[in-house]
Amino acid sequence: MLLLCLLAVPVLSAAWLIGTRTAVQRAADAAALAGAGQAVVARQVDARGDVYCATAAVDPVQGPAVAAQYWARNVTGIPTLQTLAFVARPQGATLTVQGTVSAAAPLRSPSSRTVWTVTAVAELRQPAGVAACP
Amino acid sequence: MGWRFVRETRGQAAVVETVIMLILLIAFFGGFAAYALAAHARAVVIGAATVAGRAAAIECGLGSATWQADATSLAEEALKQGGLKLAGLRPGGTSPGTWSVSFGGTCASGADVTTTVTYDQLDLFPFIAPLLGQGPADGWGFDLTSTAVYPVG
Repeated sequence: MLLLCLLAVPVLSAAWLIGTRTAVQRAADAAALAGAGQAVVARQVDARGDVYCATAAVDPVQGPAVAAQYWARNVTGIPTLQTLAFVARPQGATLTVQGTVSAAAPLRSPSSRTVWTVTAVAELRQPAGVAACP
Repeated sequence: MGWRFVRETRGQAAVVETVIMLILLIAFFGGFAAYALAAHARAVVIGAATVAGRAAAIECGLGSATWQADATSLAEEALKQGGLKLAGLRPGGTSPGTWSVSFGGTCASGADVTTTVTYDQLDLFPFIAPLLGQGPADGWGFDLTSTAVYPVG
């Protein structure tokens, strides 16, 4: 009976972690979407000296900040997850997250841990009403 | 006389021990199966909230008038595809299998939409809900709830 109980612990933990993994992926997805929405107008000058504007970059300050807010709002109750990197590219934003979650979390035991790396990609969104150079 | 008494007593004790062990084993495997089903349902509910929340935020941002109904349909589809037996939308009872989708937040640019999916999971063992970090049992079931917060796109 004791052996059965010991065998059950990893299986029960794995079942719990599957759902938690889904929640973590959602948090990264929402964070990347929110961060990518923080587009800024970039001034661009071509070879002839003409200046034109394009919404071509994620705000390097606001992007990660807003992403972190949405991350935190989606993973309430999993405090050991943390955002490691937010890469803003012209075409979108990539959020890489590494989390340390106890595999024995259902039993409230910190003895066993697993590390996840989650990546979410979102496309840059054009902010409304952007027409002229700032 | 003495040996016969000892043999009968031992035989009765063995029967009692076997019955106790059988009850424990049935409870163990029953609880094990119930936990696995509940953990699966939890993952499905989280996935349904993700799909519905994403769609709600995007459709709302595009100005769709039916974004709530569309997101609810997506959540229902996700729950069904996850293999959950749906008994009907709430309010209509809180018996196992009933489910609901609720929306919060503001449908406006720069705001966010909160989508909560709740599913009443059959619960025959009282220890399962706390293990999954969910609320206490309510009758024959307990609520599996997941909330997704997405920016309005």
